[in-house]
Amino acid sequence: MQRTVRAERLGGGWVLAGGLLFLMILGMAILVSPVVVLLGDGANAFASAMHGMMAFLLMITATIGLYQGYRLFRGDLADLHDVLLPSVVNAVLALFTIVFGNWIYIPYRAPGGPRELFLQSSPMVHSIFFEFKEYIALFALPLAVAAAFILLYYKTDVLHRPWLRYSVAVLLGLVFFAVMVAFGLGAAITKLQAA
Amino acid sequence: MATLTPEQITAIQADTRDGEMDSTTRPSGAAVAAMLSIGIGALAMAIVVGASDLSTSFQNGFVHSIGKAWMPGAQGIGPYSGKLTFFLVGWILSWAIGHMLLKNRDLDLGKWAVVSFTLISLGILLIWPPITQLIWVH
Repeated sequence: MQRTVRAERLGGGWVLAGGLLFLMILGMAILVSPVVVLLGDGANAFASAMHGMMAFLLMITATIGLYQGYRLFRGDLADLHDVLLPSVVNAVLALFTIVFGNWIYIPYRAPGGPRELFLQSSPMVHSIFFEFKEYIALFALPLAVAAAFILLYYKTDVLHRPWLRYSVAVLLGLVFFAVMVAFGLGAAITKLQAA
Repeated sequence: MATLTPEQITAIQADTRDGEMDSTTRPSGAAVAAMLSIGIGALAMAIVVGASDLSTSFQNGFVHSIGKAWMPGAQGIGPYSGKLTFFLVGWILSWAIGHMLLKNRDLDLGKWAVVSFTLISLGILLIWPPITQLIWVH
């Protein structure tokens, strides 16, 4: 048993070393590559790219959270870390997505920005697509934080107490719903008019 | 997939995690406070969103000033900064108060979870523009 644990830790060390090496290579590749071509050369390129990237990553982790929440709901989850990690990552990514979203909202509202165009051509695009998107996106943060909090506060109790399990599962389901709606509407808006 | 019994789960965790995440048997009040506060924050924002639709001066004056009081770039973000602030303050403040009041109380989590998720759903429903317009403007 002890040998297995030691072997697992050694294996984990190699995975960590490999991951760090990969990140170093990725960092060097980014530094020497023409990043401007990737991001675009607009004044809001960085904020837009970061908002999009964070939202994309959040969509992935929210989906993982939804699946792990479903397993938790059914009582199939044996290791709490399987649901704890996506919950914490969801909360962090939701915060960053909102911060970068607020940043990119400034050029959206600026004179000559996409908002002006939408208000002139089709006001419903602004009120439904954009305004609802920005409100529903906010829900992801408290929902993800509450799920992570319950998991961290009650620890393995969550696995044994049915309503704690159900609550975390529903919170993670709602995180996925909020992120999916906001991500879908955001993607639709960028198709209509880039910031 | 078979459903594991609590005993099986405990055995697996003891085998694989060296007891990193022990059981706590804490009262359910803290979970209630965490969930209920989201509904309170959502309703706070929904009311401000509705009132803003009703009155442009309220939106551009009071609501925007709340955002400008603390948020970097709020001048450019506009009244949305204030609406976001109401959500954040409503959520965090009610969570902090709720946590202090309820953390040592064992409440019926099932009942309070249903209440919390109903409030959250109501908050989402009330910010859907056609419903906001229907309630506040028409």
